[in-house]
Parts: sequence; C-alpha cells; structure tokens
Amino acid sequence: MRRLREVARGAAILVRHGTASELRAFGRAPGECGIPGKVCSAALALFAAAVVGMLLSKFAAMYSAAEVSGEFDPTARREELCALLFFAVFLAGAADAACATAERFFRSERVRLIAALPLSPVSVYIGESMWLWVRKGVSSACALAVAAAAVGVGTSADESFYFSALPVLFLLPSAAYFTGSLFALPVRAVARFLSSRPLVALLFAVAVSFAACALYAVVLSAAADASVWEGYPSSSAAGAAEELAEASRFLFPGSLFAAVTEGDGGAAAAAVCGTAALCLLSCAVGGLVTVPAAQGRLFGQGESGKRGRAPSPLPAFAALVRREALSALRSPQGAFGWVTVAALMPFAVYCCTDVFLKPVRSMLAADVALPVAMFFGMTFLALANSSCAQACLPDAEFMTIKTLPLGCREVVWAKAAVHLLPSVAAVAASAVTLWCTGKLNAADAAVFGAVGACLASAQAFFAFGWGMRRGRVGKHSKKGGECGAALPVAAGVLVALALGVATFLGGIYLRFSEGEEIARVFERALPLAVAAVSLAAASLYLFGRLDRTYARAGEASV
Amino acid sequence: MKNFCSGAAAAAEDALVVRELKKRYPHTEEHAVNGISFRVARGEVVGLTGRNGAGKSTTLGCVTGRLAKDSGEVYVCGEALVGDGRAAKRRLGFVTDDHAVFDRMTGREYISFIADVFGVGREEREARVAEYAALFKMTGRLDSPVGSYSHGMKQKLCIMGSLVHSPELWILDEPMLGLDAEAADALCELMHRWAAEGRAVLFATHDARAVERVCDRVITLEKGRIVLPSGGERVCGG
Repeated sequence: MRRLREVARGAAILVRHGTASELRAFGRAPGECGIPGKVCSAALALFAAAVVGMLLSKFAAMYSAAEVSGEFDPTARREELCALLFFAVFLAGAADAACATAERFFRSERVRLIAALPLSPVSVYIGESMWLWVRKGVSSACALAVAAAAVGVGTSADESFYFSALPVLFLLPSAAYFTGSLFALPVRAVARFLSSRPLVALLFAVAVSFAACALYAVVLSAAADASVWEGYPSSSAAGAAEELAEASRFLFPGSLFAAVTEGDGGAAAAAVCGTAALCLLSCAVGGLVTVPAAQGRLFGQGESGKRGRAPSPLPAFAALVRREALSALRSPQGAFGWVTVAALMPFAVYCCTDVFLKPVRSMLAADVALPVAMFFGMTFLALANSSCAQACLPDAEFMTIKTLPLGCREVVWAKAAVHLLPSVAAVAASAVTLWCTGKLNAADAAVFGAVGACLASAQAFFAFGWGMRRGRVGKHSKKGGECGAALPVAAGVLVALALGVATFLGGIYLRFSEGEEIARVFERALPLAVAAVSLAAASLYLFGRLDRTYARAGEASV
Repeated sequence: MKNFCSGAAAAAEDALVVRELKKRYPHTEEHAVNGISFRVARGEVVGLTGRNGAGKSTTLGCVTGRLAKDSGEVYVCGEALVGDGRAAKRRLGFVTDDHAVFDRMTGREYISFIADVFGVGREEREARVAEYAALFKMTGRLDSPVGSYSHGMKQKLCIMGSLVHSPELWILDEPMLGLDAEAADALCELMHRWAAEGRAVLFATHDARAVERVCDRVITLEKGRIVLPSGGERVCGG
C-alpha cells in the first residue's frame, strides 16, 4: 500500500509539472508559436471533418438501404459500418500512440532528465504518459465523434445510438492508446534500425506509402462506385455490401465497440474490462520495460553505413547542397517526405483524377480534366512540399552556417535546390503521367507543370522567408519544431484548394454561359496568373532585404 | 598594459579590432553589448570573462557574424565584417557553446563540409584531420553519426572543424565545457601553439583556471560593458 502511495505521489508530481509545461507551451508569445498557423490548421481540420462527415453520412444512408443475403436490415448495416470505422480509428490511434510513446521516452530530453530522478519507473511512465494519452485520446475521440454522428445521421438512428456511442468516445481511444503504447520499444528498435540504413528506410517508406496510396485509391474508387448506387441498386453494389458485412465480423475490437453503440450490455462490460486491463498492462510494461530501457539508454543512435572514406572535396555551394540533402535524407521524416513527393505524388494525382473524373464527367458531360487534375495536383503538392517549411528555421545548425563565409543567397538556393527538386520533379512526372494516360492533352499538361512548378517554388520561398523571420526555435534544438511549419503548409493548401475550386466552378459557369472555348482559356489562364502572382509575391517576401533578414535570423529569442 | 590601437593600419595588423560595438536583442530594453572596443593582436591569447548574461557570447556572436550588430565596427585581420562578411569570416574559425554540429552527418562528413566551404585541398584537410583526431582521441569515431556523440565529443569535433582551414583568428565560446581533463590540457596547448605561430585566439570562459593558464590578457565584461580596468584590458599571467 505504501509503495502504491509512493507511485501515485511521484506520478502526481510529474503530471502537475507536465500540465504546467503544456499550458506554457500553449500560451507562448504570439511571435513564437504561430497562432495564425494554428488557426489555419484548425480551420482546415474543421473543413475536412465537415466534408468527410457529409460524405460518410451519404454513404451510410446508401449502405443501410442495401440488401445483404436478401435481407433489408438497417441496424445490422449500421453496426457493420461502425465496426469498420471503429477498427480504422483503433488502428490509426494505436499506431500513432506507439510512435508518440517511443518518441516521448527515447528521444525527449525531458524524459532523460526525469528518468534520473529518484522516482519509480511506473511513476515516470504514468506521469509522462498522462498528457500524451489526453492529447491522443482527444484527437481520436474527435474523429470518432464525426464518424459516429455521420453514421447516425445517415442511418436515421434514434437517440439511444448517440447515447450508447458516448462511452465509446472515451473507451476506444483509450484502448487504442494503451495498445499502441505496448509497442513503443519495438517501434524504437525499428526506427533505430532504419535510421542507420538510409536505403532500407527509403525502401520501407516507399512500400508503406504505396500501400497507403493503394488503399486510398481503393477507398476513392469505392466511393466513386457508391455514388452510382443511389437510386440504382446493382448487383455489384449488393456484392460489395455483402463483402463488407462479412469482413466486419473479423474487425475486432471495432466489432465489439460497434456492438456497444447498439446497446449490447455484455459488449459494454467487455469493453470496459478490456480497456481497464489494457491500462494496467500498459502501466506494467511501461514501468518494467519502456522506462528502464530509456534509463539504460539501451538504444543509442545508429551507426552510419559508410565508413572510413572521406567525401571528395567539393565547391562551397555543392558542399552546402550535399549537407542539406544528407540532412533531409537521413531524417525519417525527410526521407519519407522526399519519397512521398518524388515517387508517390504522380500516382496519387493520377488515381484521384481518374476516380473523380468518372462521376464529374457523367454529371456535367464536359471535359473538366484540367481543373480536376489541378485541384488534386496542387493540393498534394502543397502538402508534400512541407519539408521546405522546416528547412529555414533558425535552429542551431542554421546559426552555425551563418558563421561560415557563405552568402545568404547561396544558403537559400542550396536549400531550394534540395527541397524543391523533388517537388518540381514530381510535378513534371505528374504532368507526364496525366498526358501519357490521356487524362490531359499536351498543352494542358504543360500548363499543369508550369503552375505546379511556380506554386511549389512560391510555397518554398514563403516558407524560407517565414522560417528566417521566426524566433530561434531553441538553443539546443537541432531540427526546429512543428511551430514554424504550420502556416506555410496551411497557406499552400488553402491557395491550392481555392485555386482548384475557383478554376473548376469558373470553368463550369463559363462553359454554360460563354461556351467551351472561353471556358478552356479561363481554365488555363487563371491558374497561370495565380501561380505567377504567388511566385512574384513569395520571391519579394524572401529576397527583398534578404541580407538583413538573414543577418537577423534567430535573434528573437537568443 | 598594451595600448589600444585604432586606425586602419592597426586594423590590418591586428587579428581582431572591435570598435564601439553595440547589440540589443529584439523585445528587450537594455543593450546586451553596449559600445565596447578592444583588439586582439597576432600572437595573443585573449580571454573574455564575466558573469552569466554579461554579453560574452553576444560579443562573440557579433564578431563571427552569427548575430547582426546594431552599430560599431569589426575587423578580422583587416577585413571589415560588413554585408555577408565573407572575407572576414574566411579568416576566422569559431567554436560555438551549443555543440551546433550537424547531427545527421558523420564526424568526417562534417569536417569535410567545413573544409569544402573554406576551399581546403584534399591533402591538407586529411593531414589536419589526422593530426587533430589523434590529439583529441577521435580517430576511431569520425565515421559515426554526430548524433551518437557525447557532449564532449561534439565539442572536440567543433574544435577540429574550426581549425581545418587553419584560421588566423580562432574564436571559442566556453571551449572547456564537456571536455575531459586530458582534452582540456590538449586544447590549452593548442591555443598556446596557435598564438605562438603568429595567429590569435579569443575565447569566452568562466573557467578561472583556464584563464590563468592560457591567457595573455583578459577582458572582463559586465552588463555589456568592459569593466576592468578603465580602457578595457587587463594584462594577466602570460
């Protein structure tokens, strides 16, 4: 009992300290924490939630009307759909929790300091996990709430469904978090293995990304097919529904939590007991394995594969480019970002354009390939270009480069060469793919490529300028933080979305009011004009008084 | 007491001349460095001391181009530190106090990067790397990622990187931090040797023992001003 009290006391101290840190981090000075970025991110998240909710609700309405094995049973269909969604949220939550726990316990300076204090490992684990659990739980609960509300509305569920779904909003994210936290050590081992083998890491990233894209393409394809179901139930629709119903039985624990939403008392008891057991198991594994491993520093940094050979001498600019490329490729996020941009964007743009062109063409009976391709291409590009946003944060490495005899333009262009090359190559590859597959003609593909290259450069220049104007991220911080990245990424996505929607809607309006020729001119001219203006504005923002901006970079919080 | 020298001729002769240097950080009322002037002659080892927040690191930051000065003049071996200050920066080597080496490179790649930036030839760089790696017992570790180094090893790598182009002025910020006794001794020897070969060393430190052992002169800062003695310099030991 005394030992339990000690554990609880230690955990309470850490939770109190962690809470103070979280509150301080949230309320930082406006110049340092990127409030506009957070607001933009929140607005984008709300927009995405609304769109997903509406689509899901529509799909749920269609799916609940489908017959499976000759039976019409909306309640069973709702349960199957919930099982599928809950399983997806559980998997995503568990994977996220595993990565976040590994990061927290094996990479954080704070845990290294705390692990040296005379506190029991279980106290350290509970104290340091508490806020992680709250953060991850809240984000999973938000996703679940959107999913459950969309399904409920789509299937015209009564209030008992919503009432029963409430405990699931707490239980499922908790179960996902506790399950994921058990895998922190294996995740750390895999990350360490990959960090020392850049080529394997790249192949791994390519495989994971292609799998994710293929899954995405299947989901989009199913959504496009489902749009044809409405009012025209077909044998293929019934077949797909039967497959889904069959699969949902095996999606544990999604099926268990889905049963809870349908008022199954036994399932509710099992969910509560299971979550409590997972909580205890997580604390035990954390206290016995995770924290001791972190304290013992069992897993240090990996070794480089290349040994004993000095790199060949290079001119200063080439050396800068090589340094930037090595830094990007040897960080898991950087390597993943590069691969995502260079290898996957053409595939993703092609899949999305292909899937969405089918229903849009059938509805409008017009060739709207360029606006649709532009919409997806520029949105993916803006998201994939996010590595640029981190590249110019005035961290310790940037401050070291400032002391070297290099011009500010050399430094900026070296970063641009490394971080823009994959983006521009990916845009070119996307344009060629769309042209070769007949989605775009040669002129439209050229417009797509030019607009993409300009917007990618504009976003990168804006990100570089933004990064240099920010306060120093931390004296000992080597790679910045997420603070500096939010606004340039959000701004890029917003421009891409606005451009795509304006081109699409304007083109349709002009097609019906002024004729095909005018519409086509508009669909090419508007993106080119927006891209040119964006590039000019971003260039002015970055290169105007660059000497002064570069010299002053990083001073705000030294 | 050595005379403070002024004028372009003195600026060319001295390894470092600082005149009326001022620096104030954004969102602060007081100057971190408030109009200080000093010089470092060739052949000298000069220590910069003072309490925490006295302005030592800020002074070194302004002198190396890490921070932008608000006003004043800085000459490194006669080259003014203005604009991007490339000519001046070519003459100096800088060891930061925050081990700001590049975590994702190996030690050898880091030194090669610095050598490339300064245009050091292959043979020279290999000879220097071999010499300094042996001196600081780093020979077997240069092919490991910098991220796997301890603080002391990062400090040693910073020191090696700052010397690979054989700078005329060697500037170090808290160089003894994290070094073991043997490495600290080797560093002191190296600083002496550097000065004896006609180059100059300026370093900031709290370590009184290092000041006594190494410095020809000491400049003491307080609240951004030079306080000891009037005129700004105190001869010590040497």
